[in-house]
Amino acid sequence: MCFTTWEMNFYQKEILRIRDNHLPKQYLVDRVVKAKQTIDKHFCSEIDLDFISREAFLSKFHLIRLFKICYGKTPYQLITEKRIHEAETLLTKGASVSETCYQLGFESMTSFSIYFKKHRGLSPNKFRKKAISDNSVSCLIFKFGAT
Amino acid sequence: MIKIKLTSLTVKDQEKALEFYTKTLGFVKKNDIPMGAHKWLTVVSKEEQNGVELVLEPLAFEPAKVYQQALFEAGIPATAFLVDDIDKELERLKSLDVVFSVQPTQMGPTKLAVFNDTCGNNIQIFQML
Repeated sequence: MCFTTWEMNFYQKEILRIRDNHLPKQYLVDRVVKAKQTIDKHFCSEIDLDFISREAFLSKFHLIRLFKICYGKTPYQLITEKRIHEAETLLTKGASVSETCYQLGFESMTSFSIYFKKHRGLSPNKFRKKAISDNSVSCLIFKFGAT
Repeated sequence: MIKIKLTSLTVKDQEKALEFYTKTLGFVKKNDIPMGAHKWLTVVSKEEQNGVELVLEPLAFEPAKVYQQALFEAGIPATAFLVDDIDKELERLKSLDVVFSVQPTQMGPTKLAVFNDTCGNNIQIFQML
């Protein structure tokens, strides 16, 4: 922002205050963003903290600490969130549990089912059936104009 | 189960707000139900038409006018919308004469900007990097 402090409104001043006092320096933020982009690109395959930290030029300890400050969660939590979200999207679109499992890079159906149930509260098979049934109801409502 | 389906924004003029939020910002009208002097008016994102609805609420309660005015003068956004590319969106909105009080500014892994919605509010757009 190109204002002098006395010209700024309250919110503009707050942006600068929070950025300067509570967020990491820009060159560190850039490295954390690089880590996030690495996760965005590779979350469907097996990635670990060693790989992400190498890509971001940060030690594992600093990566976890800075990532949590910037995104409010650890890299592992973000990977889990993205994989579950992707699994939900694929299952809702009608992909089978096995297709979803292998597309997300899980080694076996068992490990995928345990992982999904742990984070989503129901098995992938039950989730898929429910999503498909909800979709059919939505289509009927749309078709017959019910509200 | 409990879900977030609506969020609201008070606007000085519902017709003018509908024009701005659909024609300028690109949202889609979802509900427009007459209710006497005002109406139940909601818009949704074009890409998520079954997603959260933004209620454009009439500003018919005097203390709310004072609150809205105070937020506006302090430059504080009444709400925020996610965009894919903030620089591109800024250029698009500027070409439609939208006035920005905060130019794209990076705060940690977020890039944000703030504009005037012409209905009494500052609105923030942000991109997650």
